[in-house]
Amino acid sequence: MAKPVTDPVSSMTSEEAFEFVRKLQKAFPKTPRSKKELAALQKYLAKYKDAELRAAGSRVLSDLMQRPSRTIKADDFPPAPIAGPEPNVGPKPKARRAPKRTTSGTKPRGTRHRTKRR
Amino acid sequence: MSYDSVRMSEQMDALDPSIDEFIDRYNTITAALVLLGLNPARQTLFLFPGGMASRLKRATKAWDPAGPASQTFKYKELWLNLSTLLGGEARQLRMHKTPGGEYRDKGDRIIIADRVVSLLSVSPYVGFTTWCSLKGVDWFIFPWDWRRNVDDVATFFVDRFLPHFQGLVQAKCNNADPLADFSLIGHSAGGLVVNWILRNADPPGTLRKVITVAAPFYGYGHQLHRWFEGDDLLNEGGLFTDAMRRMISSVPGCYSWHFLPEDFYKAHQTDFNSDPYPLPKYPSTDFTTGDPVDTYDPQPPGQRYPTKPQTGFDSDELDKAKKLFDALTSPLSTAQAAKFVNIRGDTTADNTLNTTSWKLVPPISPSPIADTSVTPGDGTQPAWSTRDIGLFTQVPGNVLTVSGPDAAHMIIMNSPQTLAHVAAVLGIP
Repeated sequence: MAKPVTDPVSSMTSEEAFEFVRKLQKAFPKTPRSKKELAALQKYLAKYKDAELRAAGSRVLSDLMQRPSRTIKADDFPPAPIAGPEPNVGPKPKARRAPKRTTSGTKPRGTRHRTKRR
Repeated sequence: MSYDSVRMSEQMDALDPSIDEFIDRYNTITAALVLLGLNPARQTLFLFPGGMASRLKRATKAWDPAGPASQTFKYKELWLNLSTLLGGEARQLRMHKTPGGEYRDKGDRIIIADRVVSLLSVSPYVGFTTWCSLKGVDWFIFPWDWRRNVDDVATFFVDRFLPHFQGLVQAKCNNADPLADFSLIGHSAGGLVVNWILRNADPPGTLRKVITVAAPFYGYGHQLHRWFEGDDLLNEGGLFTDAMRRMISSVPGCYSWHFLPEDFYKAHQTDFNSDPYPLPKYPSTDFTTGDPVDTYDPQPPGQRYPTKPQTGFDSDELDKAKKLFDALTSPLSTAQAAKFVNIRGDTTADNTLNTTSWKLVPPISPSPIADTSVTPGDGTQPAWSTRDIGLFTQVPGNVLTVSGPDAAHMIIMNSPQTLAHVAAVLGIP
């Protein structure tokens, strides 16, 4: 049986982190500012394990730092057409297959217009 | 004093506690070396965090144009904590331009950079700085306001910060000069800042190396999405999409994160194709015709980007960003190339978004931008973008690649491979 792929950035996928953030946003539709509101936020977070919060933090940080916030799979796209001359210097990277993400929620959220594979 | 003068003065004050911490580390290492009877050469390494990785704090009250010269403010963290993600708070990052061209923060409430972001106890660069400390490298993280243009940030660093830093350290470290042997390392967009310093500023001659890690020299496709889509994590299910688009469009720094200009690509197409990670065609194309669409010279006019009334998109900033691109990709002198090192990442997953197609606008919603391919890269930046094509031609050995899962964009600075490359480049045992 193949070993599940471990993502060193976070054990949480982009989709799971997005769900975490959306739940939080629905629970706190206004920016918490008062002591009472901030305490409520802390109470809300307390229902998560530390490891879950760190996983969410890592993934959200990663996605906010300019990474598209969805799981990208190599077979989502057709191969790029080659318009120019073939590379003629240096070693070519070997053909590789993207590791399958095994966690749930790997479907793109569909918020982005994407080219379908034909 | 002008808004900018007060802002820069406040920015400098915010850096002083980090300089004090540098001094403490410096003196601790000095004391340890004396105890051990060692006297190795010291070197200072300045780390420029990636775009959006510096923490930003916002003044609790507005700058007063009629106020005294020495206005000081209290600050609250704006970027990044959980509150940033709630209630559309990220709208407060918006900027506005005065008739004189000065960029000010929303409501004239000064925003300054202070340290590195931390979210839910996660902060980037901890592994890198820990490694530096263990190796006796005198490190300093230079936080910067990633909303501003990299040339503004670089000029502030060279002209104002470095003399201030040097003076404080000499005064408290037995006159030791922290700039006697120093290097710069920039992660992601921080690499654009150090690149600008190398090519265009006049840093002290004791600058030894300028290292970029995962720096997008030739841009990437995600920025095109952001003009139209905002940011999923900040949009709050569409409630604040318009506000986020306006915030992003108001930030001048974003305009230089685009794909490279088409004329630059054409002029260097052979080099792009010769790279181990080739770019065989211009990455932005028209949805219908498949013809190239230059991100800096969008054709047909008025049919690619949102208009200013729609989202605040500023064509003048696009023109300025093109000039900045030219400055950041100008030919390297032999001496500059010898100092320059580019480290790029390839996670080997081949799932970094690559090319895009672009429909005509209007409408701007749904987004006219579609991703059309993936390529090797660090999960955020394509590997074809994260090295200087001129450097690869002049000094190919100065372009290094980190491969494997720990080459992912957010964690590449902490990768043992990256640290080994940095050690070799800087002569760290």
